[in-house]
Amino acid sequence: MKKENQHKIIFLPANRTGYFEHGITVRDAALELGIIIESDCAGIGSCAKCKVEIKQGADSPTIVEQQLLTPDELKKGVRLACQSSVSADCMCLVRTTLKPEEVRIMTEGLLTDIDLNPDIQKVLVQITPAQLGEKYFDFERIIESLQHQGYGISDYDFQVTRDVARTLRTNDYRITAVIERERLIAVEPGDTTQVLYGVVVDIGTTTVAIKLVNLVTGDVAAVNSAANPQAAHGADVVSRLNYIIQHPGGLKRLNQLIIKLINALIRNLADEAGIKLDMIYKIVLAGNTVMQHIALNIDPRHLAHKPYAPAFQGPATLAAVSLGIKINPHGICYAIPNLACFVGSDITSVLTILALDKQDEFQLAIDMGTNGEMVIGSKDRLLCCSSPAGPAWEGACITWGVRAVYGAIERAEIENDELHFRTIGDGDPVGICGSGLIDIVCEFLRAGVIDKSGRILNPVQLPTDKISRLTDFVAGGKNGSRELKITEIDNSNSITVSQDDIREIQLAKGAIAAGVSILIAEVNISPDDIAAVYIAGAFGNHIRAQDVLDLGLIAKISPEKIKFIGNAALTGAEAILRSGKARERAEQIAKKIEYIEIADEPAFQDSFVESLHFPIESKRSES
Amino acid sequence: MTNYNELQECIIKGNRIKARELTQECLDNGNPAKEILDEGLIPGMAVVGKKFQDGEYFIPEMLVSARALNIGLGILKPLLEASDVKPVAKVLVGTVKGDIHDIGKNLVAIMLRGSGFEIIDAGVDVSPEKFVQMAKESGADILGLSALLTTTMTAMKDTVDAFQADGSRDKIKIMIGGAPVTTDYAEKIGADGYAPNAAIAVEMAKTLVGGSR
Repeated sequence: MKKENQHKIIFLPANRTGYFEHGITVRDAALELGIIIESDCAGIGSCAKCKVEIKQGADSPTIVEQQLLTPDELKKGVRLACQSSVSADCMCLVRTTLKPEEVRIMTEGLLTDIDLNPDIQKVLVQITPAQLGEKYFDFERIIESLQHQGYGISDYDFQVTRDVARTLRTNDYRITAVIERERLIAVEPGDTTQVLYGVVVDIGTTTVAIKLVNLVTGDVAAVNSAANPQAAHGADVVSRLNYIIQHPGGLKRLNQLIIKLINALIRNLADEAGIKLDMIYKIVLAGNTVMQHIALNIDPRHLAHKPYAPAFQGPATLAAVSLGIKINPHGICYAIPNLACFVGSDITSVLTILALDKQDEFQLAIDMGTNGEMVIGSKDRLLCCSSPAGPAWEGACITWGVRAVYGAIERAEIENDELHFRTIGDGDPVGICGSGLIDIVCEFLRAGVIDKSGRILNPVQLPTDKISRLTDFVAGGKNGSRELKITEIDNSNSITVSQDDIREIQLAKGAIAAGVSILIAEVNISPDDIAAVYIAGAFGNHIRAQDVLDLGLIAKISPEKIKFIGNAALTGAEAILRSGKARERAEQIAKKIEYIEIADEPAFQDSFVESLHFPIESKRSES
Repeated sequence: MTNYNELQECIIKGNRIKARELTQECLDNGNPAKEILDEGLIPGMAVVGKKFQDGEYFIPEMLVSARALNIGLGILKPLLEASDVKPVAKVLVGTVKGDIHDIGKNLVAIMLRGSGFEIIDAGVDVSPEKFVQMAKESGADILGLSALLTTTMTAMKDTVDAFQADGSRDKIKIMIGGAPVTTDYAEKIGADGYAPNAAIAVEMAKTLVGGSR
């Protein structure tokens, strides 16, 4: 209920109400209630995307808002959620929140070999009332019954012993035991064995993806994703580390940002699936090493300096409630083990569902995240490395870049000198997600509008016989550079790809390509010898094999060997949630993988510079 | 009057072989080394810098042009020294301790060299003590410090402090650059300036030595 110095806020149309301290921003208040107001700038007040309408009780607009909002908007009560703070009871209308169905998360058919046999289980226990003179301890009789059914219990949550007497007697001695491996974590009244859910989260530096799984049927109940709100404190892991080092309380702040977001996402998934949070007993966390440290509230600061020592590898099993994660209060959090300082549990997850370590021939897996992570492996050797690619693949730091959301251009193709594109959900175009950006760059490369150095050619300098209708896409951008006009969104604005955007892609792909070439050299093979290349990432849609080659992520390999596996970190985490065997496999991989630190190799920088060009012979070139 | 367009073009296109031939040819025709530098190599490199700023050129193109420039400079250097032509100033450049990223530092060195500065490159992962020692030995007028990481930029402060402690801070101008660095940071640690890119680094270096002379 409302306390002193608190204000009541009602958020519409979600119709959620909360009481908040004076001065909290509308954005933070919304997040507390599970309402994610999307923005690009993570709340620093530069993107003006988090517009809300405050109906009553608004404070006066800040200078930032006066600059970013039109007089009309200000008159109507439009505010920026990250800037306006709560100073009285108010009602707030949120239009920009994302609906789950507007998010594209690619999860390919990689789980066919995974049995539904999770570590978390529910078992029905029916005992008879104890007779006077028998061995009649309630709790021990439950353990005995479980043992008879083949479930050895070696450990238990002490709270269970407090609940058990009453639960038994009010339910005719019929209860459901919730077991995580050999640990009894809860008892529920009656038979609830047909209701059990788990959640998997992939905490990326830029994007957080989440999935709710029905652990009785094996069905995926709901999926969603959101921008990582920590981005307000740095775009990459190194700047997040620096934030923690430089700000007292920085770890706590970043930890709270991610935990609140996870709670909001879980709440939305549960609402969508029509279930109660109590029905969720397990959360599996994947993410790069830094993200995972922060989510578990473990100080990662020593990852910032040589020798880049993580505080822990994991795995870790702990009470979800101890992290502030709101699922069943007895629920378990399992953090997948990390592999190395900058190769995290996200890659452990990917490797769990691939079989690199079981093949005669070498295979390669690349997770194209903000921190690029790569693994090469065969049954003899498994070797990983990471390289800082930047957030371009997920649409960040790109003029019109967006995550894979409704209206994002996800596919583009040039046919007969016409550019055709498709948006997610066939919505009006709002921007370009990773797969769309890669398509556009590669199509214009192949058409000769961008040359192999990454330069957008000046149509004026082209010989007349080489001017095609495509060069009409080239327009003058800012500071004398050129840009590609993709489509008009209204009279005054066009979605564009700037020269700088292409440079960002070059830096990102150069970092990946350099890592790949060092791995290949390390195991002493040639690219030809690689039997398969798996590409994972949160781009939106598939990356075409030809695009992988034309970007130059890997040299000279036949396109049939390249397979796109989508958000494989999330899929792998799902496998670990579904199956104890998959979890064991993840733990084995973490024990046996080797790691090489390449960013400190002089060879890496040389290779990086060499990889900045596109390995394509343009059809046209400037004479 | 020799037309230096062709030599400039070699630098812009990064044609090493032709840059060597043409520089030698100009000398053979009796043109002074200083004139070849000022009207051939430097204006060529200025165009490269402009193209880089405009997004026409990217890192690899800069490096290719730098190689052509270095070939020309290599031929001229003994002659310039013999005729007592002084460089604009001497600049000691390096990436700070704990950081091994040299691409940014190299780009700055290229543009400075292409503008008539003499460059002494200390390399990467350079300790504050090493910078102090090398500054003394070379008699550098300017020190250019580079750091790519938010976690290594603190070594810039250590380096400035090392010059203070040594008592030689007033003998050298210090400018800093790199992705995480800002003007505020430069001020905070007592550096003389911050340059957000290679072209501005050249302008700043000119201003810094102009002010001290």
